[in-house]
Amino acid sequence: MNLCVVDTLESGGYALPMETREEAILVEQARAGCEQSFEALVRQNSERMIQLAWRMVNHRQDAEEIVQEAFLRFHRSLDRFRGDSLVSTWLYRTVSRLCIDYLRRERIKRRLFFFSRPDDEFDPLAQAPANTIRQDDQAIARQELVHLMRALERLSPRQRAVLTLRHQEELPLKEIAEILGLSEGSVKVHLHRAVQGLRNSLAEMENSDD
Amino acid sequence: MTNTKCLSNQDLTLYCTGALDPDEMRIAAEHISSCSDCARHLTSLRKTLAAMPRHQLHLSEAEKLQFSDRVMRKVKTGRRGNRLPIWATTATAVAAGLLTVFIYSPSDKPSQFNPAEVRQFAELDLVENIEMLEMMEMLEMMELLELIDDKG
Ligand SMILES: [Zn+2]
Repeated sequence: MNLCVVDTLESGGYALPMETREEAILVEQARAGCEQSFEALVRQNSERMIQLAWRMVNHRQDAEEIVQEAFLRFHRSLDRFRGDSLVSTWLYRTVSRLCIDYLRRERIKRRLFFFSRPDDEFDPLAQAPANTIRQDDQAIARQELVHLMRALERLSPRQRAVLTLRHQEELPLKEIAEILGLSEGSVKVHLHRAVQGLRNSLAEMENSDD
Repeated sequence: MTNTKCLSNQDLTLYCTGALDPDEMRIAAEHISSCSDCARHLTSLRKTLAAMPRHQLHLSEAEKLQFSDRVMRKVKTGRRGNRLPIWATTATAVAAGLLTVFIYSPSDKPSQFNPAEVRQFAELDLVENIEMLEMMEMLEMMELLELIDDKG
């Protein structure tokens, strides 16, 4: 295993916290062509990014594909990557936008070709953490999660992204606005419509079950 | 009764997701504590959000390794994902075909999909191959997407 050495740290970030400084060094080394450094960046960020994509698109394998694409784009933009921004911020933005693109395509597929993933292909419980659901509650839990997914599918991709970033990722509105390139005002509107839409859809599905 | 105004629906949503400014959060909380209408609305919003769990994803070291290996393989081969534009020429032709159908559609509202038109598309056998679905990226580029998305 050969070590990667970089003489200078262009971003000169010695006032930065340790983790950020280490990350800046890794970016610098990756830029200089060091594969191990890039790989370290991938490993540091993969779990969080796959979780983000998985929450947004509800499909583990597709989530990994999206995150993989984000890392490839990151690799291609290393030259332009500014040392003063965090890798995770860049990835958050890219993954979120790729997810929105993905959701748009899925939405169009459903509309154009009446195509929908069959239920057995997206078993929500298979993706939920083990042991969180008691055996006898599984049927109900499964039904509720299928409802939730159907309801989420009805949201516009942006509404869904805003809802995920706020409710699940718990990001401040300002950050969500930056990630999605929207004004804070329109993030508020999307968030409101998302919760409203979710509430209506869930109520509708609950009633149709009775 | 309370002497502050009821919250708008949007502000109740923002309150419920903790997205109001701290001052607004405080004022809203005071109002809700003394207004049964807003309190009821809030309960229903909380129930909705509770239906959306915050499952954590935990990757084992082996999974992380597997994933980074896959990424590194792609990086090394310099492949741009699996979306090489092998089908691009065909897709362009199909996209252009779709455009023509849009433009010359006999419908009153050519800019909107309705199920009958959509079925027609499907019957045109334009899309034989599932990979053709990728042409949606091109449609998107042509901003046709905005016609069928609700701009949400
Ligand atoms: Zn009130």
